[in-house]
Amino acid sequence: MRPVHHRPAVDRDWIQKISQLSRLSLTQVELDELVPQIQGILDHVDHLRSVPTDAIEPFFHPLMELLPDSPQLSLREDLCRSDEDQARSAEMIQGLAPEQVEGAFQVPQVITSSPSTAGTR
Amino acid sequence: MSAEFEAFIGLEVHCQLATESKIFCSCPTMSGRGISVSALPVNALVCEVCSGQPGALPTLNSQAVRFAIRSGLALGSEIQQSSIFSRKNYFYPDLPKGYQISQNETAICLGGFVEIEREDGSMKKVALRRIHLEEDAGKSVHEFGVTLVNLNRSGVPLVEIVGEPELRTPEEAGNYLRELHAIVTAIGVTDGNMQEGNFRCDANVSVRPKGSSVLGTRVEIKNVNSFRFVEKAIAFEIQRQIAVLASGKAVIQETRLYDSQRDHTVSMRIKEEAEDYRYFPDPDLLPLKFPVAWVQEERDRLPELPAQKRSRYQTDFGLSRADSRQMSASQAISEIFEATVSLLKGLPGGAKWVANLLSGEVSRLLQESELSLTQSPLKAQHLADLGALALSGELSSTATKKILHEVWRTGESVGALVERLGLRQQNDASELEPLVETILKEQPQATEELRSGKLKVLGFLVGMVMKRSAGRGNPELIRSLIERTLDLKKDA
Amino acid sequence: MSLGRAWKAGDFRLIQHLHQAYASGEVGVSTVIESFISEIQKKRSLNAFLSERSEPARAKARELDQLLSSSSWSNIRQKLPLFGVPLAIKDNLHVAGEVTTCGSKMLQNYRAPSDATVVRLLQDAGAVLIGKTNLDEFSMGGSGENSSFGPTLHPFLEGRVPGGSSSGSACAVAAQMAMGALGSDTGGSIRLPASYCGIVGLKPTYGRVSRNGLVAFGSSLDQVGPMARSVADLSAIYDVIHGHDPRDATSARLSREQVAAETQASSQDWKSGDRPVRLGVPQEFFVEGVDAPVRRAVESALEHFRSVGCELVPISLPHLVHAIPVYYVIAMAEASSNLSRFDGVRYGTRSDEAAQAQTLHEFYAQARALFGREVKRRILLGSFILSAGYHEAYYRKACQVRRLIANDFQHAFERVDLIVGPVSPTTAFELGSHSRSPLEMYLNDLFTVPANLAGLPALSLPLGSDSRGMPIGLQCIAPAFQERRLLGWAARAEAELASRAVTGSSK
Repeated sequence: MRPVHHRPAVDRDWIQKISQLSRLSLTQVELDELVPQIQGILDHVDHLRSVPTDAIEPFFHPLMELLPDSPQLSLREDLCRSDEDQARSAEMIQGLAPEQVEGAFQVPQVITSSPSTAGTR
Repeated sequence: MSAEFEAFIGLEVHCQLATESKIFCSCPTMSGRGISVSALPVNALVCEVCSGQPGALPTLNSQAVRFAIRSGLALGSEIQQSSIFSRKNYFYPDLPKGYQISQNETAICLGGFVEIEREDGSMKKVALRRIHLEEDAGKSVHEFGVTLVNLNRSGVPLVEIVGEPELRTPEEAGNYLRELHAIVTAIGVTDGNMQEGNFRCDANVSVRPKGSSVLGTRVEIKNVNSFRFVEKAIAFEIQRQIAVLASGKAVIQETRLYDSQRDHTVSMRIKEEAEDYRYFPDPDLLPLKFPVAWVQEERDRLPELPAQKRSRYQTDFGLSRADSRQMSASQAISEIFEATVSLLKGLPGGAKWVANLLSGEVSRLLQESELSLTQSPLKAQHLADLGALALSGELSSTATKKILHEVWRTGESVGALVERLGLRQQNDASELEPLVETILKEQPQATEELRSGKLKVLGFLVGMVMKRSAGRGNPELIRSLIERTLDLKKDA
Repeated sequence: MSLGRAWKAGDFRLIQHLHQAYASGEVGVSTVIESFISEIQKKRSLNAFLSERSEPARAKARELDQLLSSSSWSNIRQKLPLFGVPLAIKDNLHVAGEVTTCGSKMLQNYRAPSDATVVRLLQDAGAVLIGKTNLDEFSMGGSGENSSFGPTLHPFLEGRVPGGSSSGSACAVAAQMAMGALGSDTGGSIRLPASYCGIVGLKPTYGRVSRNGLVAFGSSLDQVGPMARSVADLSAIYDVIHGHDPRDATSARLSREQVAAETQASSQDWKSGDRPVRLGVPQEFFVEGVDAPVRRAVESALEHFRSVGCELVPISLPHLVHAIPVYYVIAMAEASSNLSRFDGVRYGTRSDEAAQAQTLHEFYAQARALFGREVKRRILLGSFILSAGYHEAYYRKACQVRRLIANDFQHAFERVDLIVGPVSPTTAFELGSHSRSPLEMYLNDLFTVPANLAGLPALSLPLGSDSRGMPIGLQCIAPAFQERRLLGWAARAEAELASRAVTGSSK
């Protein structure tokens, strides 16, 4: 089932909606500037619709195509780094935090819950 | 459930795989090290990959792949020679990369089933949609006006076992979950620890008027982490939805959280506002293909599955269905059960006795002490020694219990404890007779009542003698001594 | 050692010359590095470097000088093929403990926890990394103007762009501030600036060079590659950085047969077996819109190659016209996801506004306000392209047409050994000339993006300059994993062009 897609009407409201999905905030000036720019880019992209691709498998990754016979994904052995290396790694990562409390990354209080399916929170 | 409505329940179970390291990096998972991840310092198990640093790339853990294959084989899935990792894009502070790497529909295992027992004892096959590999997110704690993010869990390997909505009652859902738990722990792919969240479940519940051909609106319940809570949460949710429908309103598609303290579900957010996950194949990971031999190797590693075990327990040991289910509920329990039975060397009634003790007093002790069987000092040898003494009448049930508690406390051998506590059952009539006479003298009223045919007081008098013997007297022997003393031959 | 002579960075045109000087004891590493440091300091106005590594470079030079005094040259040369060679690194590659900005305010203070694999390989080969170079923010841009830290200027053409996004690397090499550099190429970001600045640049086959430690833009398109002043130097750097890396799951592992075929190919620079090398000339590379001087320079070079033994084969890559929309759809989709991790939670700068945000949405919006306009534009479009309801029409469709483009190359390589054409339809354009229209800028990538889409190795070779002194680049594309053949041919082509210039045999 391939629904027919129509281009959305590219206006300020639409760009506002997409910017929320991307967690970006845009100024009024940016919004005004973006409307014709995005329209122009999508007009250009829409040329692709004329290319017949019914029986064509999507090309997702060059290595899948360039090395079709070799093992596709190299796997790692189930090994941990040494305890000292782990401690060093943790210290380094924690040291990058813009704000932290006893090693935890701090952000302003979050009221919405995680959309993750990962449960127990 | 109301007679006019019917419910459809599908469970999505997340199961933490018992690998040494995380799914895409070399950070430890602490699995099998006997250390609770929640007890570790915050952000101790992090690196560039699982904390989402720029430039860091995922490399897939082969053992996670093997565990997923083994799960699929145990659950009758078709193992896919090629599967794809996708990015599930959403923003949340404990999701370091802004996307979760998950297989979703292009999973390593497709199909499969879990067979459960209905309330009437008949069997039901519940179909699985898929089993897929994914990474866990971190954990957020909300307190004192801030949110604190801990990434120790971030990147821990999970399989998500997605069931079709074929369960109809909360009890079926509970049985499904118990059976699945028994299987995944038996095959060793997870420790199944539910307190730690290593085996957890989301339930999709929908209700529709009976006879309707359209499925009802689906509500997802999250955060249910015990068998009992799953049943209670679903029962509550079904009643809630029926009440909504009965009042002529429509059920809203949403995610709800189960609050076990208040035994109800509360709305988390409405789906319409939910994320657009913008799935696409992860360009950092090529399609997963593994050596064909792995499937056979993992098949060879499959132990006897819980269902096979149950039927063996019933035919070989004469256990009831309920007992055989209990004795196969986990790898640990079936191991100690079988080891004990084998030490008892076919002693009549042995298997049944062990099963009773394990599902009764031992399970109470486990709950009280919050230990697992493997962590407890109790060994099969203890149980076998106890069983031999109890079944030959040398230990009373009270004494058996007493010794069990001492074993639990000290780990001492049963033989030593019997001697130390002097609990061997008193089967010598000549030693019990003076006690019987003393009690009968001390209790003239009861003795008189017994003589006049009030047999009810016999038990009371037996108990008094038992107490005087410090619990060691054989109650059967005491009974017959009292009868003989008072000349109460039943046939007289 | 230096015998009082005042050495200048420009005295060493090639690595070979530099190594001869080291071998003969004419000069020490510290002296050489000092001359490059002073060159960098003199040319700061070009804005090629975002961070200068003078002190670590001096320390490394002292270390190498000690080695020079204690070991035999042949020993050193064998173990450290890039001994004492001053190289620049694009600032989207990590050096442990140092800042990687990606040309963005977002990462202004971000200190990388560890080295990129390519950086470690260069250090292990004896190279001296003298600085990290400017780039278009997150490699998004073709001119070098789009850096949060100001545009990189053209090394010798005032008012012109150096090309991007590896603008600083190209400028540094062309202006003798480094003997070579690393860039990264997602849609032409090595070849375009190489062409505009008159140097050579190689985008290897996808999977040839590790992406570990390269801040991702479009993960199925990105490759790290060398930039240098000669094909020989380009090869020397390429030799060191390529190879399988277990830390990058998309790094290629070749079979024994493939490796054997590769070694054989390296000896066949100008010929293919017994017959002359066949150069495929796609008609789509010589269409309207290609500036006349570019077209003339490329055609005349090809004619010269024919006259010295190459065979020219007219070919067609019919789906090439769709390369730009396909490229932008895929690159933007991947970028929108790759840049999601810049959320200000675990690293980066936290503004007061973000720290005081009342909702999570507001927190993210504030934290991500540090992205520049072009980056925001691409994230927005990428999010839209992947969103429910449009995914099929845009993302999937683009991936299907990507296959048609890759198939065009495959068919062409059944008939030819290499494909040649211009790198860019124009020469270095004027600063600010495309700033109003992003689309116009995107169209400039038409000839470079196809190699990224198909994952093929491609090289930019300078053909000299047009009458106004504007450098022009020839692009040469090879079948996958045939870098040896590509570099071998390019070395010969470079020599032929040089002798043509000397003898004046060109028209």
